[in-house]
Amino acid sequence: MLDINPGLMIWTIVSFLILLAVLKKAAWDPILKALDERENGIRENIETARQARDDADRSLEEYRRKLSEAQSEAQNIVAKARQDAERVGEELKTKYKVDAEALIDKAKKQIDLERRAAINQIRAEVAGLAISAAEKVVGKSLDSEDHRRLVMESLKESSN
Amino acid sequence: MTEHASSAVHTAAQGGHGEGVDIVHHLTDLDTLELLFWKIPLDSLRFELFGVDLSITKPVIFMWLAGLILLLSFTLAFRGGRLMRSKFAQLLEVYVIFVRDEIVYANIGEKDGRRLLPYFLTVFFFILTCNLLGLIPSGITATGNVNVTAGLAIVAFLVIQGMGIVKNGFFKHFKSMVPPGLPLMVIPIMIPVEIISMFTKPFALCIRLFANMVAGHAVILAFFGLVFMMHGVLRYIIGPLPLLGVIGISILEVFIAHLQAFIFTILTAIFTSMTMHPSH
Repeated sequence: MLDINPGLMIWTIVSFLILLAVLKKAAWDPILKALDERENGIRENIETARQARDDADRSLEEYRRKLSEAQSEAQNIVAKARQDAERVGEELKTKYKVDAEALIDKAKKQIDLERRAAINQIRAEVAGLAISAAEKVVGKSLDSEDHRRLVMESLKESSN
Repeated sequence: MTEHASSAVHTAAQGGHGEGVDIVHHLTDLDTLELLFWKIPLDSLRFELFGVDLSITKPVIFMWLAGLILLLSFTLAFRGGRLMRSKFAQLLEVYVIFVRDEIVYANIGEKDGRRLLPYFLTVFFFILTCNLLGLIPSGITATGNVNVTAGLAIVAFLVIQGMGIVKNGFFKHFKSMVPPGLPLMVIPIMIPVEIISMFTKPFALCIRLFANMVAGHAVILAFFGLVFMMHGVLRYIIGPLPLLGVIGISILEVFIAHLQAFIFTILTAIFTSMTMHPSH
């Protein structure tokens, strides 16, 4: 156990070195290579996944930004439309008011005109009747033009 | 050595030396392969070369067994390609990644560590397998023999010094033993101390591994011995209790087998890193 045995040392060294050479060729090199490859693969996958996630985050951020932009834009549009509508309504309201007033004025004037014409006609009619009645009473036909004028004047005075 | 062998053969011929467990004999016997009840003497494998006893003894056979197990495990388990790994291969992979990341890359760095990885992986798995083989019935722990751990420590010494020379150049490597800015008077003391420390590090590696493995087995054998110390009915009543101790220590030994493989490997890595980067 403790006695020095150079032969056993030599056997140990020789066996160990042969084992080292054989295992290096048969085991360590392929296994370590496979491990390296797998670890690199995993590292690449992680890198790719991280990149994909970053991309996704970025697009999400962009979409979110776009969405909020669209939302505020839509709000602006709606607000503007409402404003426009109110303005147009206001304009239309004033316009129709003016129009209606003008129409009423016009109608009033028309009515006035018609009334006046009717009154004049009635007057002429009444003058004619008065003359013919006077003719009957006087029994004599006066110069009709002169009479008519006289009657008209008197009527005008009386009506005033 | 020969006396051991002859006494072992002698006791075997006597039909065993009665009852009991001969702990020292069990730990030191190199020449009889025990397979459950069969004892296979290895005397026919004795030979010398240039005056060196190169007999193929029990530790040698178990080292080869460990190497064979490693070779088969790693080639068969990882055979199915990269995607269809067996559970055993996944377990081995955990060990490999642990040695790579926690022992080699953590101490030596990724660039230099990559080249040394095959050595450290082999050391770790070889020691681990040798340690664990001793826990199998009929198995022995090759690392429980100081010559085996000495061989491993010699290789570690060569790696530690060799990497320092490769990294820093021959002269700078030995010059770096004396830190710059040291008072001139200290240098005569410093140089021998550094030279001694160069050898004590692997020596400590050797003794630590050997002593730990021997101690564990001695404790297990001592517990077994307790069973045989009792006689008559007592053995059957109290006898099972030491067996619980054996089971407990065996579980502890599985842990120690890993721990010692880890310590040997990480210390070698740290020493290598120290010679490669001598500034601190």
